[in-house]
Amino acid sequence: MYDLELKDVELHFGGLVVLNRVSLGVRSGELLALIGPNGAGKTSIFNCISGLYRPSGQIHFLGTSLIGKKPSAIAEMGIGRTFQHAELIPRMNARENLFVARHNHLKATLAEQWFRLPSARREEAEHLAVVNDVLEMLSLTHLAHLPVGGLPFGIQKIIGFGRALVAEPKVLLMDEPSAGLTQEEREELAYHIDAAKKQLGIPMLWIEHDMEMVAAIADRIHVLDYGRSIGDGPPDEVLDNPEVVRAYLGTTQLTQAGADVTAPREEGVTPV
Amino acid sequence: MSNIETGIGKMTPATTRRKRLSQNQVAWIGLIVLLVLLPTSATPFHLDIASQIFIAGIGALALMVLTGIAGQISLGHSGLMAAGAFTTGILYKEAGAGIWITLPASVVAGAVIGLIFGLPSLRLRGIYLAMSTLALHFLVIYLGGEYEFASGASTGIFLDPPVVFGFEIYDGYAWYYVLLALVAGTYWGCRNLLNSKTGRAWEALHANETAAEALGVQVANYKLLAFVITSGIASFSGALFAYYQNFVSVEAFTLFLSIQYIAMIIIGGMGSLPGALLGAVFVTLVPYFVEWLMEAVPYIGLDITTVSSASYAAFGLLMILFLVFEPSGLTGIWKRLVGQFASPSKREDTP
Repeated sequence: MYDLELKDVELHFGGLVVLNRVSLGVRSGELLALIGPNGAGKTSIFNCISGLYRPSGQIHFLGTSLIGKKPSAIAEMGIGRTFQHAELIPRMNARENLFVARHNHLKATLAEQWFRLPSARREEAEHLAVVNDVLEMLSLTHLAHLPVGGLPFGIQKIIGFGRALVAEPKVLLMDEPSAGLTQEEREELAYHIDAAKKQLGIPMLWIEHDMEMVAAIADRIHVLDYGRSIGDGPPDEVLDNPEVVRAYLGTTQLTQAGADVTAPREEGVTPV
Repeated sequence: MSNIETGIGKMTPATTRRKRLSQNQVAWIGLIVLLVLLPTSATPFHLDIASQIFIAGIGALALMVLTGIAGQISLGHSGLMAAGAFTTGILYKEAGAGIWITLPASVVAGAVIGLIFGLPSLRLRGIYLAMSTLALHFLVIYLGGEYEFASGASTGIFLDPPVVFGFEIYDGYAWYYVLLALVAGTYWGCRNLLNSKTGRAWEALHANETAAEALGVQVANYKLLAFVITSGIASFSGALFAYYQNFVSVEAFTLFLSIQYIAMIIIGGMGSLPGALLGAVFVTLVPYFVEWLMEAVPYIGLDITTVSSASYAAFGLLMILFLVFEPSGLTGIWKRLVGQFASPSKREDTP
């Protein structure tokens, strides 16, 4: 039984079919990689789950339908996500950015906040401790006081990942968390994703172009092409599937070629 | 910053904060002592300017929260102040109500108007939102004018000095301390709010509404909340203005007043509460400075029209200069100065 399940999800933008009867599911403690060429509809699936798009079909989380719910309500149910471009609040520092994600855990009333009553102060301190723990875990503590707008993109992406964790999600959607990261940062990220999976035991859905990372830590892969599902199964099986190879691996080789060009420049050595 | 020494686990955040606060506290206590002692060597003219600054400061704090923090542009600030002033004036004139009725009623009236005129913000952004708040301004001014006409008070409504616990707030010293306490209280409350869930939600929706919503912030509710709270405060400052002037008239609440408040938050530094206060000081002083300058320069005929048109021109020039050369306003200048004198390790960027 899947914790998070999509059934026959269809999404159209005008005459364009973005998602064509997509069905997939994730169990708790499972890391499902969502792969496919650019424009295959991967991010659209995330936007459907988090309520930013209104698809037809069914999306259920633990038996509750998510269709038609407001994004904030879906987030409040515990569906956390990261964004392709991090989407942090540039003026705030990393600590405050993470703190924003505690929004629905904080219960202080407006009056308690305005007068900063002891109850509100205590609550802030408790939740600040959670934020600091996550910063510490992601080795971000030394950067936590800097406005994030000035930090490198790779660091912003990791802060975005931390922000999703701070919310204590019951489902985690990660949209290309490794894009824009150096090889070293990718390895660290892979470690954190794996650790989060083991510690939290929640369903995790992961859009990724780095096939090495996917092969290394994903439990299962779901492949999309032109808004259609064309494969689903364990990494070794899916990556050998001829249809997947035909639709996707051409692009993968391109991506890897791109990585080969950039990696030596940054590292001076060929990537592992 | 010093959280690296996490050996003491959960104790660290609290101790860090205490240390940082005590550093800030010194500066704040110094400022408060200075402000409390200031009247001892001030003329009534100085006290009047200070009181004007305090009233403007309350209004500027409200607009800073709405525009600088929550990102909602408003040209209705003058209209909201008029709403507060008229609520107070009408309640006093028609029912002889004291401040314990007029002030809360003004806050509520402002909050209700803010809620109604916040609704377009759910659909409109930027300049379009500004235009819709402009409607608020003209509506309130129209209603105020109608009241003045209907009640035969075509020159305005006169108010007696307010009485608090048997004390009549009349002379410059009393006003100075009352308004100082109120602007300090408003600042404190706004700052508390910004360091809480609500303030972070506002910052989040200002930066990116979609991302904020996906983080669980009910964007529509928090936008309206920003309008309600800041309109209540703006209306409150309008009521204080009415009491301070002993007089309410639509003439005082021009569109130029709204623009002056926008000038305050731009010149002070967008997104900074101390910036709102710095902006209030600066903008309140500009006309006096212009007048002084024109007196000093020979061959300029000094009458009210030339002074006020010179003030208008000065405002335009100042706003352009700040927007082009110092978008982070006086706060930005201040931070750079402090940054140059403070040792690098002591620099901390928490608002």
